[in-house]
Parts: sequence; C-alpha cells; structure tokens
Amino acid sequence: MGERLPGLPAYDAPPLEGQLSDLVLFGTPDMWFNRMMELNDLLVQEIEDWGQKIQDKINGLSEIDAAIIGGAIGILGGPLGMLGGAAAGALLIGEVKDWLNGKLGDLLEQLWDAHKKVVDAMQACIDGIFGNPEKLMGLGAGYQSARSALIEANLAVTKKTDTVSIFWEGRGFSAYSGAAGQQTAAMDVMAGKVQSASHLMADAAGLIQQCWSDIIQALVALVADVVNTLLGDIEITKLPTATVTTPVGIIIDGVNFLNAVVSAMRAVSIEARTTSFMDWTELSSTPWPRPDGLAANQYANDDNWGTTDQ
Amino acid sequence: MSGPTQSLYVETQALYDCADGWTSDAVTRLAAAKSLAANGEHQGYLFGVLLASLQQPHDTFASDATDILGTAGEVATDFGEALAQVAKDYESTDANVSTLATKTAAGL
Repeated sequence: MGERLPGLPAYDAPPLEGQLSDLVLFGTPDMWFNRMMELNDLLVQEIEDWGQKIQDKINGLSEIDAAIIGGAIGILGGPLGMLGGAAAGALLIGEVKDWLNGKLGDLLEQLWDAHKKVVDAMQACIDGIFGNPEKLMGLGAGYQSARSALIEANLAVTKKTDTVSIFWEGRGFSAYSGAAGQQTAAMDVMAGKVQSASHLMADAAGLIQQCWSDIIQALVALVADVVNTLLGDIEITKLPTATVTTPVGIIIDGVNFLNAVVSAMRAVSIEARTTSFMDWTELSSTPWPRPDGLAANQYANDDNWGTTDQ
Repeated sequence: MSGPTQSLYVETQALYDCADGWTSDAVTRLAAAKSLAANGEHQGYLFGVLLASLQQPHDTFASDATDILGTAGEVATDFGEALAQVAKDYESTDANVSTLATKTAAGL
C-alpha cells in the first residue's frame, strides 16, 4: 500500500552553456507569460534604439565622413567627380546618406526577421505548455488528503471490528469479518491510487515549472547577449562594412533552444503515454466490492455477507 | 447461530460502536475522499498541451474514482446499518436476556 509508482520520465533539458544555472519559479501562467512579454518588449526596444542611434549619425553626416564613405563605397567618380566646391559636397552627402539609409534598412530587416522567429518560438512555448503548476499542485494536495481519509476510514472500522471480535464469534462474525476485510482492502487500493494521482500532479507541476524557468532564463540571456553586441558604438565610417551576424546568430541560437525545450516536453508526454506510468489510472477493472443484501436479520447467515462486485 | 460470549451490555455496545464506526467514521471519510476526487473531474486541461497525453487518463481516473468512492460510502452505510440491526437483534434474543439474567443474578 502506498508504494510510489514510477515517476514521470526524466525531463532532458537541452544544453545552453552557462545560462541555466538556477530554477526561476513561476507559480502561475500569468507570471510566466508576463515575464516573457517583458523580455520581448525589451528586445524590441533595444533593436529600435540601435537603429535610431545609427539613423541619428546618418542624419548628422559630415562632409569629411561623407567623402571617406563615398570613397569606400565607390560613389566618388563619374559626373560627381567633375564637380567641385560646395555643390559637389552637398550632392555627395545626399548620395551617401541615401546609400547608408539603405544599408541600415537591410541590417534592421535582418534583425527583425530574426526577432520574428523569436516571437514565433515564444508563441509555440505559450501554446504548447500553458499548463498550470499551481492548480496541479492543489489537486495533488487534494488527492493526498483523499489518501489520508481512506486510510483513516480503514483504521476506524478495522479498530472497531477488532473490538467486536472479542465479543462476537461464530459463523456470523466470520462472515462479517470477511466482508469487512474486502472493504478495507478496497480502501487500501483506492488510497494507493489517489496517492499515485497526487504524485502525477506534483511531477507534472514540477516539469512545467522547470520548462518555464529554462525558457525565461534562455530569453534573459538572449536579450542580454543581443544588447551587449549592439551596445558597441558603431563608427559611422564603419557602417558600410558592418554586419549583424553576431546578434542574429545569438537570436537564432535562442530560437533553437526554445524549440528544443518544446521538443523535450513533447518527448516526456509521448513517453508517459507509451509506458506503464499511467496504468494506475485504470479503475474500470477495480470495482468496489458490495455485499449482497445487507438487510436486517441477514447477519446470521454466512451467505448473506458474500459480495458481488459493483 | 453465533451468539454472545460476554455480557449482553458489552457485547451489544461493541456492536453498536462498530456500526457507528462504519456509518460515522468511515462514511464521513469516504465522503471526504469522494469530494476530493471529484475536484479533479475535468481538470486535465491543467496539464497543458504538451502534457496533453495525461489529460484524458487523469479525467477518466478522477471521474471513476468519484463514482467508486461514492459506492464505497453507500456500502459503508449498509455495513453500519446491518451491524446495528445485529446489535439490536442480539439485545432482544432470549438467550441474551437469559445470559444477562444469569450474570446479573451472579452479581456480574
């Protein structure tokens, strides 16, 4: 009785070096969801700020910088080269600004494309694992209390039956005692089953919380890394050769991690369904024993304490 | 037929106590267990979609457990009532009355 059945299969967390050191507890879906939204907002803000910073530099482009950049990207030459003086300088700045704006647009597009993938992955996490650990734990506690109640019911009738056995003997008592034993045995079976249910709730709640925690930590790390790589002050003269390969790479790593978390959860679910882990939930083959006709005056006849399953 | 082995009072009182053990203690606790199991009915969605394979087995379990524990409570009530009847019948049998008279006469 009360022996713990096999727990959930192990949750195989995907590796993300140095990021998943702690368990960050989120009791409710709302807390977890809101944190995820905050991190997403932060990521959006950082990309926007980065773009604005570059835009400001383009807007304030000096003639000297324009000349350097123009040389680097090959705008000098052709008819422009023939012109001289202030008119030529203004034309050059205009041309270079247009080119730089186009370049900035390309870089931002790459960042937003990567960000779109994060949003999609976040949505999959939300859709996929929007369980409720807090309520699962509450149900588990209820099942544990049901187990206690069944054990107490068993103890109460067992103890009083023991007392009765001192004063009552013969065929009648034997019949009653046998039937009572069936009842207490059935109580034990149910006590074991609700305890298993309690363990399932706790395991599932723990699994969901671990999964949420991993996702949030991965997102925190992802946002921090992207911010770090975007923080470096980009000299406007370097923009022509600038790339966003590093932050895009970091974002893609994060996307892969989120997808891996979802896959790991899905694997647990499938494994739970295909193993004997859930066997205890089958109750249709364990009906409660109900003695035939416990009517008045039938106690004296052994046969009337016989049971049929109902 | 099986009969009393000790004094009438103690014997029937023990039977009444035992009957009460079923109808009061056991029935109350089985009802509590049933109510707790019923709390789990239709709550499988709490597992979330990724643990969706646990939803249906859990809901079926909660529903079946509620039914079974309901039956358990009914049977416990029947046990208590049957035992109370046993006690009542013993109280009124000639043999028991005779035993009581004998014991009373003997100063027991």
